[in-house]
Amino acid sequence: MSVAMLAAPAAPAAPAAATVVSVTAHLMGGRVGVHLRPGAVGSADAAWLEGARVLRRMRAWADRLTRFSDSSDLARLNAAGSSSARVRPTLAAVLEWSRRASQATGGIVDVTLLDARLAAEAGRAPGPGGADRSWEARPDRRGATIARRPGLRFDLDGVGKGWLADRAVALLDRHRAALVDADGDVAISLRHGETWRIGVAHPTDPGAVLATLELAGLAPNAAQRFGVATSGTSVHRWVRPTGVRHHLIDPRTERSAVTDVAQATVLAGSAAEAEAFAKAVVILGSEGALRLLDGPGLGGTLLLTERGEVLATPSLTRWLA
Amino acid sequence: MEPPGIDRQLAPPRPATPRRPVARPDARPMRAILGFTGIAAASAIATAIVRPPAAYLGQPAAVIAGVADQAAAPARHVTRYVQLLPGQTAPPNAAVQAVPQPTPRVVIVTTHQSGVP
Repeated sequence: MSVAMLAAPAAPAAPAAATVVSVTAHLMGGRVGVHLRPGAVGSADAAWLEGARVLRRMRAWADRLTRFSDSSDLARLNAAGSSSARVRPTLAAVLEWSRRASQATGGIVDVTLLDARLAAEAGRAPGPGGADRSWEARPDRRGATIARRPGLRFDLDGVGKGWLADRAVALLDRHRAALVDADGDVAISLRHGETWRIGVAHPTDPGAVLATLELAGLAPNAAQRFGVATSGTSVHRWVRPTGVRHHLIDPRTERSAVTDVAQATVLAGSAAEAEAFAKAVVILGSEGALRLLDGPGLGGTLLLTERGEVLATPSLTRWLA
Repeated sequence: MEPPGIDRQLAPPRPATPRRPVARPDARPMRAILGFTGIAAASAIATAIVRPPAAYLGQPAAVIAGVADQAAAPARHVTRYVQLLPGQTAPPNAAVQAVPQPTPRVVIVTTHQSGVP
C-alpha cells in the first residue's frame, strides 16, 4: 500500500515567487507605477531599486514632454515663433510616433489640437477652424527639426504616456513579469507562463471594475509585450454655459467629440498603440470605430456606452478573466 | 490368461474390521491464530487509512514507518509521497519533487482614463 500524496518542495521555494514589487509616484498629472515580479534573478530589494531607477528615467522623459512646464522641450517648441524648430531625441521620437498613430487611425489621433482643447476646457467658442495643422519632422542624429506654420502648438497628452510606458517596460524585460502603469496607460512584459490581471476601472464608480483582463505570456523564448489603455469622456469633462465639453477633440470638427462611447479600453501589442486606438474609438463612436477594430495588431476592445452598455469585441473574450 | 505352470494364488480375504479414523491436528487453535492475525491486519490497515499521515499532524514522516512496523506482513506500507508543510524537511535520501508555484491572481493595476484622482 502506498500513501499517495502530492509531493511538495522540501527545498526553499523560489525566492519571492509570489512577490510583486511596486514603486509609484505622482507624475504627468497622475499616478505612475512600476510593478515587478522579480523571480529568482534578484531580490525584492534589488527590484525595488530598479523600479525606482526606472521611475526616475520616466520623470526625466516626462519633464521634456509636458506642456505644463515652460522649460520642457515641448513648451519651447510651442513657444518658438519661427516655422522651424529643433527638438531633442525624446520629443522627436514621440512626435514621430504620433505621426504613425495618426496614419493608423485615419487622422483621428492628432497632436495639433491644443488650442481646441483649451477652448473646450475654458468654455470658449473654438476658433474658426480650417487653419493649417500640417507639420513635418526632419530627423537627424541629434533629434529632429520640426517644420509647421508659426503658432501651431502641440499637445502630446496620452500619446506621450503610452510611449513612456512602453519605453520604461523595455528596460525591465529581464524580469519574469513587469508592468508600467503611466496613469492608466499600461505596458506589460510577461515571460512564458507568467500572467497578470488588469482591471478596467468603471469611470464613475470608484473601486468598481467593468471587466478584468488576464494576460498571459505565451511566447516560448522571449518576453511578450502587451499594452492596455483606456480613454473616455467622463474624467476631463466640463459643464459650461455653452454646454458639456470634454478633452477628446474630434479633428474633423475641432470640437469635443460627439460620441456614444463613454469609455473605451483597448488591448494591443504596446501601450502607445492601445492609447491611440482607445482615443480613436471614443471619438469615432461605437459604429464608426468598427473599421478600426478589425485592424491588425489589436487584441480586443471593451466599450462602455453612454447608455451604460458594456460591449466587448470577440477577440477580447479570450483575455477576459 | 496365466502362463502355463504357474498357479496363481489368491490371498485369502481379510476379515472386515472397522476403519480407524486418521489422527489429525486440532484446527481450532490455528483458526484462532489466523483469526486474530486477520483482525490485527485489518486493524492496522484501518489505522493507516483513517489516521492522517504524519506530515499532516506536524510529526516527522518516520511515524508512518512506525505504523508499518506494527502491521502484519500482508499490510506492508511503502511511503512514496509525503506532503511537506512549510518548514518541514524531507527524510534523508527522499526524492523531492517541486510543485509549481501558482501565479498570484491578484489585480493590483487598473487601466483607467487619465487624470483620475
